[in-house]
Amino acid sequence: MNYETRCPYCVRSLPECRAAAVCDLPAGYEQRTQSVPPVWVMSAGFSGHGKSTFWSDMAILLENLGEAVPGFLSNYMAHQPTQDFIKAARYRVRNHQQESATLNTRPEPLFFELNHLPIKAGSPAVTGRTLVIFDAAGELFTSAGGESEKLNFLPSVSTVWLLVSLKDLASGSEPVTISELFYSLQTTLQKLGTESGPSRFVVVFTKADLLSDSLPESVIKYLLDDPLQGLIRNSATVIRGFSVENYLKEAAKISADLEAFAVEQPGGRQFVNLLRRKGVDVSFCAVLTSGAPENEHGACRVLDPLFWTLLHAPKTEPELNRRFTLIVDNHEAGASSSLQSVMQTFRNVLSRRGRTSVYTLGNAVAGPVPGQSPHSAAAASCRPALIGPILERLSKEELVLVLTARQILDLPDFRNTEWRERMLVCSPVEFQDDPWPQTMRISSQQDCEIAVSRLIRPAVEAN
Amino acid sequence: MSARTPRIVHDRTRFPMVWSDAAQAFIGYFPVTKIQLEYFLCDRPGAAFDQRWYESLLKLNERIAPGRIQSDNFYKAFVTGISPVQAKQFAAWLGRESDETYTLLNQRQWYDVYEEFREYESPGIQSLLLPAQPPRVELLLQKIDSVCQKMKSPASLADAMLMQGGVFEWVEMDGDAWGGAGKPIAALNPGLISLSNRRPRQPGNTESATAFFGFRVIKREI
Repeated sequence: MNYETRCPYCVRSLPECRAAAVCDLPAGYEQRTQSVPPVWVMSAGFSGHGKSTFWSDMAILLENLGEAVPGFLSNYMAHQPTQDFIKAARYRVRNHQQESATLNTRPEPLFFELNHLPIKAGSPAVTGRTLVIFDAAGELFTSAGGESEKLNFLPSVSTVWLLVSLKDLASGSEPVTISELFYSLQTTLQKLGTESGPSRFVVVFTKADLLSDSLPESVIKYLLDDPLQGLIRNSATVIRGFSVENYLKEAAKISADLEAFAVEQPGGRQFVNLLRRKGVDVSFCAVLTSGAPENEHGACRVLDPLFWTLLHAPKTEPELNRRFTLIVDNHEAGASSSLQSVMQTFRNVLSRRGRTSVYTLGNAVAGPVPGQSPHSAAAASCRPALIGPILERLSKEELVLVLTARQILDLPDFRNTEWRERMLVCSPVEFQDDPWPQTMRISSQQDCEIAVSRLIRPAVEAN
Repeated sequence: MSARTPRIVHDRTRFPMVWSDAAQAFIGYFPVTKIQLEYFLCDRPGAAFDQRWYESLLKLNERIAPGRIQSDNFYKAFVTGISPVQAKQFAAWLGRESDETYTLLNQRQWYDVYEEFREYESPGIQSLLLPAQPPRVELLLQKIDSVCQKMKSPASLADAMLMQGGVFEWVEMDGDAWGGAGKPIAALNPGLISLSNRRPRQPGNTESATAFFGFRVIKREI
């Protein structure tokens, strides 16, 4: 199942949610999202860093984008909270007011159906996306994982926008660093019992006007040259042949400049290293929002995070539907150092290609303790190398990748079953006795992509 | 032998158990298999049941995949070499998170059940299968049953349950002692055994003396 075809309220599958009939989804949401697939986005950021104002500007820009980009249409689904949000945003922008802080409750999802997107790459079948937005209150993040139950949707979110006002980070009563926001997010995911979370992060430096003395000159110029700048007051000129790809070519250079800039900030290097080590895709943006009284330029580059998200959103349904299980080995003999180094890479490669869950060999109860490396989590337990009780828990759609250097004791039980085509055993050692039909020797991280492709191919052929 | 339709239930590993009037309890249809034990090992078995422990068991009586079971190797499907204390831990796990109490049979129960079940015909393995049985469990049950059929046909319920022709089964004797009930398959060199004298085999003191001592579980009805 495509994980984003869940209900944004109860996070159950849409058919299950429909049967329960308790959630207040927009009318026709299930049908509409068949042709206009959803993309779930959550904004994460500390209190007072401008998240709500940013979303407000974005909503108005989307409302007006059709003026500059012929054919584009933003439709608010028949959803009262979204319509109320739009009305409030219009009022705020018209009266140059700053947004009040987001309520410290479970974020109300907002729905924007975007049609005729100016995106040319990817599948021609997907020209529309339903943007499902969760604007989470800053307080949910300030105490690490403390309010995790209000963020139950987080494991289903594909993209997180980290909204950071560097000036406010430094000047708060208790100064924090940029990496602490990321840690808070990780802790929340762990409390929700998952390690697999968003596969893409967009780091958005808000209140760029307060950084005029430190932002690179290239970024300032880029901000002020925004061709969509007039949209907030509905005075943009029509841009013929506008494409997100072309727009983001310039934005990509700015992203690189901003990454270099981020590294120079307190905690910045650690933050960038954390993201890279997690293997998530990351882009950097800077935005000017219309709320700041000293900002005479209006909203600038506010749509960049959205463009990054849409361009990289998964394009095809089969890709979204794929489900993987990664079974790792914690035993001292099974978890050799070469396996340790590829374990995380495997997880990242699989997560990019489908929904991935993780088990430990010999443990059908749960995956590795979130946040701990699988090796440290259970090195002491030395569970027998058994896989049957895990496989029998999985659905028939699952593709399984096993990482071990041990001979799996009960693997022969499954030799003549359908698992033969759907399970690949990867190992740094050669198995002499009765090796599994699909076994691959791995020696480096480069082998991960090859292994995953090999895992997917037989399943595709079998279908 | 008379025909009857016994009451069947399944334990948490989805293996069948048969009602015994003599014991007033459900009795495991077969001695506990390695696959059953492995469900326990993959749950929360405790630190003692680790890779080294299981390897030491398999050294005494190696594991066999259900698809490869034949009349000369079927006993490898059963757990043997385990101590009565460890066997009781497994039994306790079967009843964990439920109101059910599982344990091992005692000497009197075992022979009472044997005498009861040798009077009945086997109901046939098909009647013991669950609709959603894991395929390898179904295959295992069918393979062992087919071996039984070849060895003794028509088989009594006691024969079909391998109370003879299987492995020794730990039973608690008077005075806190443990012995092996049953009459194992000749390939295991059990020596001369008469089930009618109701006396379990007392294992020797060597490390390999209990290599083919397995166990069967009993579940009391609440």
